[in-house]
Amino acid sequence: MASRRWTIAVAVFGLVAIPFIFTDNNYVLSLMILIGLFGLMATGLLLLMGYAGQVSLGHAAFFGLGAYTSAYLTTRLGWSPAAALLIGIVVSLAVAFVIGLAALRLREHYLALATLGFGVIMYTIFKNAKAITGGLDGFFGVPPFSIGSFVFADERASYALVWGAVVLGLWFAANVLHSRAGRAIRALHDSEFAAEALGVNVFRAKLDVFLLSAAYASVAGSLYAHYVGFINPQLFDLVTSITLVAMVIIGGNRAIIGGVLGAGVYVVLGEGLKAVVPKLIPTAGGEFELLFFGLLIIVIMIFKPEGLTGFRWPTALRPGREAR
Amino acid sequence: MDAFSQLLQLLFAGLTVGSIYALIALGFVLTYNVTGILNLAQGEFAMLGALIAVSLVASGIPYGLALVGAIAAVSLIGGLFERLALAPARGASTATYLLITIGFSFAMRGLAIFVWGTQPYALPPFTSDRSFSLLGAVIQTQSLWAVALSVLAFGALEGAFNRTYAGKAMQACVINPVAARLVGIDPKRMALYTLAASAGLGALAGVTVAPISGASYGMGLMLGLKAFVAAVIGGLTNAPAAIAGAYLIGITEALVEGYLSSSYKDAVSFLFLLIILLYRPTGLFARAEGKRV
Amino acid sequence: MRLWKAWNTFGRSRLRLWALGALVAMVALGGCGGGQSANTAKPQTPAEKSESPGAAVEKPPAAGEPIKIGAFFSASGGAAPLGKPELDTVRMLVDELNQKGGIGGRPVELIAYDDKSDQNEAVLAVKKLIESDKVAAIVGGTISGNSLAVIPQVEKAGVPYLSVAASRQVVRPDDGSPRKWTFKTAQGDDIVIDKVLEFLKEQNLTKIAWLNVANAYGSSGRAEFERLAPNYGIEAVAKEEFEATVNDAKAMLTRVKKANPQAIVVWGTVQESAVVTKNIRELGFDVPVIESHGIGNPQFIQLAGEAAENVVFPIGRIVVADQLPDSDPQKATLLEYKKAYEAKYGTAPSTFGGHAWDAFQILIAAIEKVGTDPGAIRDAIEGTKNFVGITGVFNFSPDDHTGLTKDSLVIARVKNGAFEFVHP
Repeated sequence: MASRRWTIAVAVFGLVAIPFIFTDNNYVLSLMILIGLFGLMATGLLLLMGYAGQVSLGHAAFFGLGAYTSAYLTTRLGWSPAAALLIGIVVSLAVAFVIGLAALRLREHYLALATLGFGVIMYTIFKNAKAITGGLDGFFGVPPFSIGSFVFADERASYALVWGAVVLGLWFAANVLHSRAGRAIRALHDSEFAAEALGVNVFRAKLDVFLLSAAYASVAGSLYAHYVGFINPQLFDLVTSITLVAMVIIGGNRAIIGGVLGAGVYVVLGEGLKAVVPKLIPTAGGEFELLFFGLLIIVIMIFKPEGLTGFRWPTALRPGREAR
Repeated sequence: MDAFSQLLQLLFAGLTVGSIYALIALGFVLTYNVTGILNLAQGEFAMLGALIAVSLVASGIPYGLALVGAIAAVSLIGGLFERLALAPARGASTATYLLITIGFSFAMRGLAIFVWGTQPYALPPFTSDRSFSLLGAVIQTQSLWAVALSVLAFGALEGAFNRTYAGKAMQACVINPVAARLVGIDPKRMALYTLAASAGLGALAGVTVAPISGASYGMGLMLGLKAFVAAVIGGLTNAPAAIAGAYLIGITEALVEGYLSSSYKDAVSFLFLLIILLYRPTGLFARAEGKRV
Repeated sequence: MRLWKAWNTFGRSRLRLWALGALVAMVALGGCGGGQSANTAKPQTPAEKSESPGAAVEKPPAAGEPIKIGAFFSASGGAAPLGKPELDTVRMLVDELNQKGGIGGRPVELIAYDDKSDQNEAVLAVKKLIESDKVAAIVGGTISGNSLAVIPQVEKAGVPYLSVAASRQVVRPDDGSPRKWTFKTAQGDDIVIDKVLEFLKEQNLTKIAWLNVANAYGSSGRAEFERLAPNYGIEAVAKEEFEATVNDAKAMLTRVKKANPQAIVVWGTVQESAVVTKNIRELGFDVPVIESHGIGNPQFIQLAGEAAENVVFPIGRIVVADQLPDSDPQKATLLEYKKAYEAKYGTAPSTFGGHAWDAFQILIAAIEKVGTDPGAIRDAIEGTKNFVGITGVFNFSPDDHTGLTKDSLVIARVKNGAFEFVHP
């Protein structure tokens, strides 16, 4: 427990320090912002996957719901970004509630399949609801985030905003996990039957954590839309959902920081490959990253499936047929 | 074109695509049955098969030999995948295996771009480029091949399961892995055979669809996912049901495309998936089995 | 087998964790190291600069402090068939320029990134170009989405930016957001559709079927078509969309056939257009087929086979450069580019490479005239007149940051398995 708090304290200190160390470098900041946004989503998904043991392959949909709600309300209707962000959460929660009511009855990889289907359907909706989303041409001209008259216009302000949200998100997640609801959620992890026997309302606990993870993704989506100013449906497709799952797996569930850690490793590794590969093989393009990333995921899964923070997968998720 | 020939046209379009899904779905079900692994990279085998066939034909190898060579090569890749990536992770969780197959799918796509680039390639049809007319609908010869092959592949698989030792051994692993091991069947070897066979089926789908739609590095993802939906509709463990599911998906897509709009084609397939999962999680045609809910 | 056993024993030991850790650390360190050395890139000599990874950096032979030009193209990923020739073209031009002594004795240093057809990568690349590499100007943005995503940054930073993407929104956005620093060198769909409509009108084909691929390329073409068609008295009796991953479009085409069009317009790129074209012919549809400039690649003929015959489409001059009349003002420039590109890369250049050629050369011309001050470069680009390029003859103005008219396109068709110039 104590060491975990120390880790968090050191991490927060490091984060605060970054803008002062790289004072003239917005590239590092934008990298950090991207890590923060992915990390926020991954933290939500970590609660769902790592702590409650439910896999979602459609989380990019909530990322998209937040992003489009914010974009539409602020750009077309002139709402304030903060209000739009809250509405985005409400919309995401509503959709997650409907999907959750139906899909959370499913177990094991059947839930993963259902959320995968849900993700593809939402992607189709983003693509086709041209009046709201701008269709495949994308939605551009989203203004930067602002609170009152303060506009988070430059890189450093955006950094503060996003990582403020990340730290808040981590703090909230840590508190939830130590609340009564959180204990119910964690009880799901090892055995749903045991949890039920102990008087946990399993369905309710699953729905709680599903809603919570949707809200995290939604906030990240809103902040993304304001930060980049341009969104298109492709950002919210299956590949993004899978990438998120990969981040959570890389990070692991031994500490709530796992999601952010996974996002950091993913982004930094991607940039690192971009730096290293052309040096080794001058003719190589981005395809080497895809190849290498694929191999890396396999290698991590084989040798360290419990993730960087020491992932321990729920026994409920082990395959039924132990042929090996 | 009157209403009847339009419907016929749509049904044939659906059957053609459905056959491709069916071939991939067969591999999917086979892998799941024997190893308990959901292989999300199944579609990539189709992609690899198609592109390898294109390269072999281009290098001057006789057409038929090139197709067989491509299927054999992909089987080998499937076997290697099992040995190098799945076997070392033994005993891992479903999610871990899922991730390994996703990683493999990424890697294969990256490899394909490296070798073939992102541009599409053409592969000549198996026999003739001709199409003929049936009651006002136009049918390509290649479509007939697709339907015939999906049925043949299923027949061959059934035959292999019931007639050969390896097939029976695989069945034993499905029915009772512990007992199978007790009588001296090596489940590890069975897993190897299974992956190789599934990969071969995927490659067969790839070389069949390439003359119709062309071949490119990105073709595997959607084919794989649709086949996946088909397999789930069939209940994941039941091969004939998966094939029926594949035809169902193919025909539904064609009807949606023909009578409504192609924009919602994918969404309809996955809506199908959701409905099946929620109301008939053991598959559309299944007898009650196991705990799924 | 024995080896396998050994590996598994090794695998079970703690060692493999260490091996894995070392691997990850190596890559991560490489990444951070790369990032840092690029970050601290203040004034640096070319030799030092080439040590900093992060991109393919061309080492200039000429002396003097280099002029840094940034580039980002989709050299891999879905848009690679477009982005690769763009990157190759710019690399070739940089080499040529430096061999000739650069600009006023100063070599040009190209800092090029591959955005992998991904929006996030494009945003990061441009941030890096502006903040870390501190380039004088930027060319690139293969696909419209990536160009649009980076525009807010270049406008805010005040860096001249020449996009190679097609969308009209790149220079004339519907929402009226600023485009002071942004120019583009590819024909927008407004121009291409105009050309197609002109051709249809000329052939007296007024009741047509419109089919477009369901992605940004197709929907942008459709929007322009719907906007401009009434001007020519042309009407779409059927409008359909097909997926980029289409295997069989006959289902949709049966509906089109019912509408009885005089001609079919197919708006897509190579692979999906080839499938649709084949299906059109298989259904025995015997009407003129007009397609988009997106099929101007020999692969289309390969994929569609005989069905491709007589397909008519608008295209940039580079594809049919040899067949142009000698009176064409661009012919000499086109042939020169074609020769150099073929000598270096062994394949024929594409219109996309041409857009990159134009963007780079217009930029270089501006720098040669006014030096490296961003504001001065911008003004010089905006003042560019009668610039004979690959895509067309450019005339920029404060109101027109594309500088092209529909005369930059010619009508071509597929004849005997090759592209044939029909008329300007």
